[in-house]
Amino acid sequence: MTYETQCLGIEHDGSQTLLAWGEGKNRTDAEEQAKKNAVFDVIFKGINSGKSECTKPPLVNTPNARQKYEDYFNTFFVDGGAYTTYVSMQDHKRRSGDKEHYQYGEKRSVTVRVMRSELKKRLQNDGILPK
Amino acid sequence: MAQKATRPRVMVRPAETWCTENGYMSVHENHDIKELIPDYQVALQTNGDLTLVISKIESLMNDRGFRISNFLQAIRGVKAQAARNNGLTSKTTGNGIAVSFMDEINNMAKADVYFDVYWKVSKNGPKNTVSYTLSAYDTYTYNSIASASGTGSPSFTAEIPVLVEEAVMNNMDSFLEQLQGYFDDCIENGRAISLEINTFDEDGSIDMESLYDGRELREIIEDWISDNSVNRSYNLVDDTETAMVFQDVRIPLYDERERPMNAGIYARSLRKYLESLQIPVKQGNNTLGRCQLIIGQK
Repeated sequence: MTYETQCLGIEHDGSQTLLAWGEGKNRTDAEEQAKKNAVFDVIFKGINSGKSECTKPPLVNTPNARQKYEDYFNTFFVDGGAYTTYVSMQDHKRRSGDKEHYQYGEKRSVTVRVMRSELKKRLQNDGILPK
Repeated sequence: MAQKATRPRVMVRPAETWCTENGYMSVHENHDIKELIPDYQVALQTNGDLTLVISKIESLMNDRGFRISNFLQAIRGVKAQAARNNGLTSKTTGNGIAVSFMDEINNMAKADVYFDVYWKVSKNGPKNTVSYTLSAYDTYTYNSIASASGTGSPSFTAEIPVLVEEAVMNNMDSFLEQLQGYFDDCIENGRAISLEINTFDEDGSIDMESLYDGRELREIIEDWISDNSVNRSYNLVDDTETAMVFQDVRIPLYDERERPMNAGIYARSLRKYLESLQIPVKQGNNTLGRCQLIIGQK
């Protein structure tokens, strides 16, 4: 079993459909964390698993960018923060994901759509990426 | 961990031992020292078996989703470039690092990994047996990444590419696993390059202890490398008054515009940073995985 974010497809509108995992004390918490992890991976890690035709390098390739722009990304990834604008669960079918229980709650996989192009524009406008 | 879908670009060439055994080596004299150099182009143009074996391995890799750079095309590209540049005067002062023919081919082909293939056919009555070695190297560092060797089953066929294919297929999975494992590590932790920084002491005005805003030049450089290497991973192997040598500097695979990174592009960013501090810097020759900066020169 892998908990790595995987690419399921591209929508030709600059978005990526991903399978992401999240942990939380309950379902809502785990799903929210999965959405956050998907956006985090698109920004910092790139999507390297899943369908080979839709894998992408990270948006931010500056080494140690998470540390360098710590204040910016702490605010960006706060619960209900700006990251929610760039991720949706419109492709997720109820009861379609995997679920695992562990000591502190549950781990769930969800299908999310990340608006990669819009995200890139935002990071460019905020000075994180060059225009 | 799941295997990554991002595959490295590979290039296949004959191993030096194969070139030696088959008479494709030429002698070059370098400062009175005789060196044997593989004559790859002649081998590829005249040995039909070699061309077929390389194309067979390329096809096997292509079927598994690996991107291919053709070795002969890269050689032709380097030679065409050399012909175009013939007569141009280099701005380099001669302080640059030595760039070998293979460095130039790697620069041209932009492969992540190259394979050296060696095989030998033994006859046992009417049957042929092929022994082979396939080795993979990082084009940036020339480090060995993966290796597979073996002997195929005795066969009546005399077709060498078929014999090599059969033998290679037996150990292909573990070979590819080692190769992909190495590349996955590069994706996660960056690719290793080395960087050599020297001061040019024509009038002795700049060395690594020169102060800029109260900080020594060596501190400025090391801080930049630390901030700009993936997970701050690097190894400072030489740190003197006139030189700093960094090895295993982990750089990201891509730059901010999603272009593949190499030592030259990385060093250019450092050069620009130093120039912004009014420190004159010249960038010497570079290969995919090595670059030299000369401080005090322009």
